[in-house]
Amino acid sequence: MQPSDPIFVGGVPRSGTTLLRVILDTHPRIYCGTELRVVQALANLHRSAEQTGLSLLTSAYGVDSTHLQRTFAELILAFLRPAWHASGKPRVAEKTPWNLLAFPQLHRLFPESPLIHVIRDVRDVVASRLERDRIAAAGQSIDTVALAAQRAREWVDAMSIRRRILSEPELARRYFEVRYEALVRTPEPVLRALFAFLEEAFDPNVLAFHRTSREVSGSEEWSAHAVQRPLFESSIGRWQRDLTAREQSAVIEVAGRTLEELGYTSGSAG
Amino acid sequence: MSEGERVDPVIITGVPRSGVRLMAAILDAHPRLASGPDLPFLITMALQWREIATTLGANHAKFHNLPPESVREAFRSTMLALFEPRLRRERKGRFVMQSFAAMLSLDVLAALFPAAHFVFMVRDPRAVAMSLQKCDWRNPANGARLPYTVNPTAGARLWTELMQAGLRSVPALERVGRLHIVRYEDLCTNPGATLKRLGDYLGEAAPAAGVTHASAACVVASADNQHPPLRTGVIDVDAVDGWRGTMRGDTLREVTACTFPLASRFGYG
Repeated sequence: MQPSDPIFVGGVPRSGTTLLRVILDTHPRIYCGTELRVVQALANLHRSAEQTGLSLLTSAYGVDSTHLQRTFAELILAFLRPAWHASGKPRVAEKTPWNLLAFPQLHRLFPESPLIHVIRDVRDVVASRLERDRIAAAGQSIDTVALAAQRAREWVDAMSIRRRILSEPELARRYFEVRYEALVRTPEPVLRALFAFLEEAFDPNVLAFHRTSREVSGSEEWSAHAVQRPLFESSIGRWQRDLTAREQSAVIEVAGRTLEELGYTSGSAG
Repeated sequence: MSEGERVDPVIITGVPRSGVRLMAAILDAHPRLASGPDLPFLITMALQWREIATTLGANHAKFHNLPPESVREAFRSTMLALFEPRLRRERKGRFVMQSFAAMLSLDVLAALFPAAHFVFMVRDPRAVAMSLQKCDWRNPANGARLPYTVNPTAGARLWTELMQAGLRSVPALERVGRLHIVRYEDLCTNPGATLKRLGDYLGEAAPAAGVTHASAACVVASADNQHPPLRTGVIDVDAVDGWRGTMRGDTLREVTACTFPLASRFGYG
């Protein structure tokens, strides 16, 4: 692993990715700023170039897959470098939730990059996303049962990436899962394991991430406010008070099997 | 070649069957220029740059020390870096990009490559409509031939729609000397003078009037490789008026009607 291999963090939105971002950023050797929101698109461009243009690039321009990979890796690094280098830290992490969908392609671009997936109970994810959906609807009537099913389906689709990753040994070697519930209940062992995976020393100060002042106004990170206070467990199982019975049923119908596959019980969270 | 030495490309565009590949092959044989097949993902990249700059530019500037100019330069350098191995190998200085889709994104490409030169190929729509009938282009979803390859009037409509879209950006680029229009007919019937003017516009020696086998092979390979073959040797004058022998009566009237008055702007009556 080289310092220039970025750490990529992803997960379904409202899974705790922002919490993990500020924890990583509190580490003395890792810079992790607000969401860039471009990595998935840039990885997709690389995939498109590989699939539709590589044979022509090779025959007409002498460009092989290694040159293509390095060129697009450099494009992603060009987005990361200015703020990273200004931080003075030796390593960089990039957290944007839907980076998750690009993990396999990011592995092609940065074979040694750690890929960190934050996973949270789908019912809490849906409860949190519905809260945002209601705000976005600005008083307009929305079908929350249908929306709950749609959000649950997005979570299930995202988990199919996890299956693919785990089926490819080389990719799985660079992949690490963080369960949101374990992170907030027992942060130290979870973070010790994470930093060991990243080949970094555990620094107890990362648990005091909320004491670090961060400029996030305008970053559009939904959870920016929540990471300005210590870890709290009250969001675990919020679905029991925030989702109606019909919304809960819609979620379980779509995501119940995947939820159990991940080790969550259907009766209570975590 | 370092990043600072990367030179913005020459971009050739025009309605399909207007001489874009012919011009790419002519310029590829130039000692300082190198062209190749149409690579649609380059346009996808340019559009992705605009999307990122438009929707995330303020966020990137505020939180990531990324002013718009840095993002533009990152995309520009990435695209140009793909052509460096060949330019270095052949000791050529400038990439020539041929792209039909560029017609629809001239403003984006002009902003992404501030020093690019644009060559806009124009051909008599009657000839374009008939030439399209020789193309075996199909809908990938159902295998059916595309309407404008089986119906000259549909071909003429395609010409008009693409020209109208492309011409939205042409006047602004022409005003600042960044776009040069080449009529296919002038290239075929008076290649010396036409290519001299083009060379002057590009700041290069005039390209030679002809197509070499090597250049033809290089520019013809494409994701859509079903274009009729590109003739090598001297430029084919017969292609200019070939439509006259095959387009008559109602078809000619329909094609003329749906390309008027745009066609007359370029001297096609």
